[in-house]
Amino acid sequence: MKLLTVVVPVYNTARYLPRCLRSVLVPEALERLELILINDGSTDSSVSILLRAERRYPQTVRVIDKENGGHGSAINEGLRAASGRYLRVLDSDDWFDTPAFLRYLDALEDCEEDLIVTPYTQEYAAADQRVFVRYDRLTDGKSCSLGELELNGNMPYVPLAAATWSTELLRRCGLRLSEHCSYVDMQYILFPIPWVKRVRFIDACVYRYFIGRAEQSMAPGRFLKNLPQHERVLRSLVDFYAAQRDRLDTAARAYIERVISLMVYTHTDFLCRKLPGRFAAFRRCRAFDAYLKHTAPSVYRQTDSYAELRLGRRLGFLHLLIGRSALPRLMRLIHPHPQKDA
Amino acid sequence: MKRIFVVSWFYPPLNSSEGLVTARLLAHTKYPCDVFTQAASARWSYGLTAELPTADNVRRIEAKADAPTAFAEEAFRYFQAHRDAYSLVMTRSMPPECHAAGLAIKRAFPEIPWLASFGDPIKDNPYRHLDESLFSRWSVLSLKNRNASPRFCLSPRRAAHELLWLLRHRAALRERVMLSDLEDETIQRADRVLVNNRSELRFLLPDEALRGKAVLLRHSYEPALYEDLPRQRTGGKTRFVFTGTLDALRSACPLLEAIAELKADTGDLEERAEFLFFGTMAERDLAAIVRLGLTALVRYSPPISYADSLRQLSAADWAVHIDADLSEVWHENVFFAAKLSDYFGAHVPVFAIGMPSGDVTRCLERAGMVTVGFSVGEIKQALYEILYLGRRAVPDWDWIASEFDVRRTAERLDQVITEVVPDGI
Repeated sequence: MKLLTVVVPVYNTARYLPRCLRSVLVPEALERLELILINDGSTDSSVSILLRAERRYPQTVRVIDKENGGHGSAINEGLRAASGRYLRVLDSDDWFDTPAFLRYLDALEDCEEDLIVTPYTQEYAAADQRVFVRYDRLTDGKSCSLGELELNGNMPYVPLAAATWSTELLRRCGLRLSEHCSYVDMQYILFPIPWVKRVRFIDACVYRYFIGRAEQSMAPGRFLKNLPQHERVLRSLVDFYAAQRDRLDTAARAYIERVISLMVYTHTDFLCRKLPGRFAAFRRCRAFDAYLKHTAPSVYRQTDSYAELRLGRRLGFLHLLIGRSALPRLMRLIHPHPQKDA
Repeated sequence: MKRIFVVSWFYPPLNSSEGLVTARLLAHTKYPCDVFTQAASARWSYGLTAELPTADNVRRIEAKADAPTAFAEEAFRYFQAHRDAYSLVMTRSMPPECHAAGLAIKRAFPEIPWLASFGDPIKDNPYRHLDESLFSRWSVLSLKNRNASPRFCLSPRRAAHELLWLLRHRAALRERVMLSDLEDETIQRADRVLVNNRSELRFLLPDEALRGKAVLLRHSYEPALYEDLPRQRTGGKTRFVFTGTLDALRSACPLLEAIAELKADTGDLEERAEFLFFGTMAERDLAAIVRLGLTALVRYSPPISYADSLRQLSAADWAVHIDADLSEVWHENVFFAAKLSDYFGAHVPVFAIGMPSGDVTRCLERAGMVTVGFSVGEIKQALYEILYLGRRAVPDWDWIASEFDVRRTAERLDQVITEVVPDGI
């Protein structure tokens, strides 16, 4: 059994793929690594790059060619095929820092935890921009439960770039991500949480998250276009939380509520500010808010700590019909910097 | 036989890539040329240290003027006095005033064909847009503000700031307007506009109607210059060499930070690699070498002669190319550094740091070189692959020769000359 399965969903990223593959396919890692490359219906030369890698490293690389089904469907497929003890996802326009990756593999040998957290870096295409996410509150190599992490302050937000899951746990929780949809990485990082018993932090900054491509789903223009998909994923998370609420321990519940709250704030904020048409923004904000209040009251209460959102709710979102920039301006006068009260 | 009258501020022995490119090209054209140039001012160059083999078909005429405007006027007067000796005019910028000479000649003698060669765009040069003393960040005309909201454009605060800026920079502004008009009129009146890359062509000639005038003549290398040089070293440390100009915008900082990170990660980088910089470097970069503890790995030397720079390149394992990040003002790199042709001539793999789009990146990728963006992580990863995993560039020297060998470029120039002077020089 291989130590780690790396799943790489690929869709029209021929330009970035060689960088991604070179960073993983290093001699010291090949024995311990299974690399599953999922071609999600690419129309550029990605497939030939993938097949070349498979021919060169037949013991390590496996290519799965499928029809386009989105990021989620590719991860679902990768999970089905994975045979490594641990699994992590590497987007094909990102890469692993090879020296850190080798250190991480060494440390992973001794791990038995369900979730392994590693720091990561957001690498921007432009010069002089870089963000390190270091997890300073976590101790290298220390194994702990979600509850212990909550006691030491909040369990930090662990995105796709930081998470390595036990493959067995992902299978046990029946992880299945939405297809033909962006933002499913939120499902990927939250759906398994109720099953997590132990967490370990490995201080190796492995993942290099590349930001700056115009086609990225988080690019402002794309985000507006994909807003219905964002809402779809958000609703799936709220429904999941509502269904699991009773079996969640306090720590898992607190973590999931926090992450969903953040997503709710982002979503509502975008609806309020950017959605074309005042009436459409008003209608959708009210509909989503009513849904959240009814389905997950505790998340609703938590999102009330965002001052702007709270005030919008008190006004019944009517301010959107009058002038949508008035409220954010007013809030900036009251709270010049923080967006959240707490 | 008549001759071609070439106006070029830069020309050997003035050590500047602009002039060296001109000299190499003219030496290979089949037509006789008189190059009107100057050696009174070494501004924007590395001094009078560039010696090239003399070409039989090229005669050098030296101006007395040491300022671009006076130089242009002197060039015009010279041409006026010797009109009958010439059947074609060619002007090379930078500086843009060289085209002013061409324009004055064209106004006085409309029948004479004129080739205007642009090293860089003048009017809206993206590089200069990042210079606050030339372009106000409050201006709605700035490329940086091309997507600004109507609210920003109509804001009284913005207008007040712009007004203040305009008052403070009156002189620079007048000069900018003059140069802008010069570029427009040059493009309108020249018989052919020579550009060195496709991105520059799109930028300089956005009007489809004028694109028919454009001719792509790439910066090229002279193979003969490299024949007697020592070939690449074998063994020892992997040597990365940079030659040329670095400044606040075209900065080595991302590279230096990547080297520092790699050094911290690996521990034995000093035994494996060395980085040599020849030319000019910004204070910030020099400080970074010390701040990041790279003095044993990175060496900086002030400008050297052209011949020495070729020797250094030939002895390198990798030539380093660094472009400026202009993504804030334009979506692609419109520049093609002339020194890249020297890199190609030296047959050294190129490690290039630059914007992801633009003709220069496309060419480097097509040539099989290593290209990375400005992200420190990406540069570090590429260096790691080269130094520790044995990654190599796979240069396509045949393609490079077909595009950048000066003999090919000169053939294209000869063809253009035949088109504009059908009766022959």
